[in-house]
Amino acid sequence: MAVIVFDQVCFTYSPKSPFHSDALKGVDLSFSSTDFLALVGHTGSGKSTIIEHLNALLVPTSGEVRIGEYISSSNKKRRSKKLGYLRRKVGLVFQFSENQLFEDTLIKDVMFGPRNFGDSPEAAHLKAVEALGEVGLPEEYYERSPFELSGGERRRAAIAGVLAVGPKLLVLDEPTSGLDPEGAREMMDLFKKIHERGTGIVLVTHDMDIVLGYAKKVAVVDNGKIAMTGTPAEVFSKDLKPYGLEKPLVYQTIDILNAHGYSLSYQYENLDDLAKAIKEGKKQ
Amino acid sequence: MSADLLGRYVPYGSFVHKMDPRAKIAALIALMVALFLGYANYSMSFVMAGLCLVLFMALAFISHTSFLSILSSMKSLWFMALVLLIVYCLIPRSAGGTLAFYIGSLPIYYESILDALRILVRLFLMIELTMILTATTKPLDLTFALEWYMKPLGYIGFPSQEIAMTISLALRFIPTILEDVERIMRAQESRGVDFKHGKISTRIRAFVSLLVPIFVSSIMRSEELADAMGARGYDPRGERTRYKVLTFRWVDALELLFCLAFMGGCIAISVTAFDLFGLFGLTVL
Repeated sequence: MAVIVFDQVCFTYSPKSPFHSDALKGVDLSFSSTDFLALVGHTGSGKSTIIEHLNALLVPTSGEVRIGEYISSSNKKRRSKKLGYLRRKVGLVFQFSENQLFEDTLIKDVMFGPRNFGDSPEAAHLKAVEALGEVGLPEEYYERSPFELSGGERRRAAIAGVLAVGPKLLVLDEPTSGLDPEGAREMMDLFKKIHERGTGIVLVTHDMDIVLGYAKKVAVVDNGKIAMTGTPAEVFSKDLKPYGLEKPLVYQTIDILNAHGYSLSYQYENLDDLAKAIKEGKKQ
Repeated sequence: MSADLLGRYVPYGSFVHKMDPRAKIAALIALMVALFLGYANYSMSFVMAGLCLVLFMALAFISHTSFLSILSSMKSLWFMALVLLIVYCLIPRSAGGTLAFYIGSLPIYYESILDALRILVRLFLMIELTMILTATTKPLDLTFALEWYMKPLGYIGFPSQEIAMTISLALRFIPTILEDVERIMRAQESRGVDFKHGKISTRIRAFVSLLVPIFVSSIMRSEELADAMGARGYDPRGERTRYKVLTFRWVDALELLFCLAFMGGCIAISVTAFDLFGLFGLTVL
């Protein structure tokens, strides 16, 4: 188990130019590589910038990020050299990841990552088959062009492409955006399964119901800083309006019911549980 | 987020920025003519080039065009310089010249080297000038100006409006596609691609992993855009109005006049084969 620590991380895009913008203004955050962490915050709060620090695509302007033994620091002397090692251990799935496919067959595309990290074609093939099985793409798809697949299937293929590398920490930027509710649920169940297998997950999302249902830890990002961390129940019981966030549907329902004379606590994870509890409460 | 992109529009409020883009294009042409005129001899050519350099540098300074980006444009000129030098040395000189030295049995003349140098200086100054133009003018304003210049061609059936629309759409999508490029690059980097190092063959492969997704997403985007325009009733032949109307102010005329005067002066010097050094009885090159 490795620990990931953000220590006073600041990051500025295009410093000293008219396009100068401070994306991160002193982020302090720590979590373990076995966590299921959700990063929430409104658009432009710096979530995506944070996750790009996790595999050193971005290097802090000041402060440092420690990912296990790897140090990504603004101080060049402290910076670790083994970038390839880090990229292997931390897999990043970007928003609209279905657009990153390019090979002529699906299996080749999934093999691309392992091959880049120096695996033999045979080893890469094995890893690709395993990853494709994990995301639930059937064998008859392997020799097809990735562009023949549907949007959801392409996204799964892209995720398989990252999983095939064998990351210890999987970072996901809005993996459910643009999917229908059923597709989103299937996708999240996949990540749940991957997490239970021992891979850490960092999830960026706008869907608070997903956060409540799947994440074990939540960090609220606001204006380039971490405003709050805690379990989903802790975070959602607070007022999130100042950060431009809504509560999950169940919590909103509980708030409305409480305003009309009920006294319910935030202990239910979905509307069914809440409905059941109210029904049983009525019987008693 | 690539602020260091060469020749990208940078919003400042200098008078160069505020100048009407039509006047700016005309001024650019006038200054380029001045730059590429032939003068009495090499010394005069370089003196005039120096004069242009002073003027352009002043313009660059006033308009906040970064000297660093101008200098970095010189980096790519190195290869050009080499090619030019080789070409000029290989071309046989009918007029003869002053022999400098031999490479093997090939005679090299001073004139060949000076010719190459003169072209190079002019190219550099031309690049500087166009960089000032693109750094101070919004791409869309440039298209409007180009469209305005193409208007007369409309009478002979030239589709100036369609072309202007195509150009402005292309310009509009440059930042969007750049964003795509950055995202895909980072995604592929996360999959272990190294775009900057490695053998040529692996770098070509890395490039393919970027090119294919960008190509596919651009084509899809263009289809969507065409549909969206069609759905809102875009008619390529219709008379179009502008949200932003270009206005030609008297300052624009003044600035343009100055550039034209500069060109006029240069033409006069060129036509009369004026030789500053000859006046003092000096003969150099």
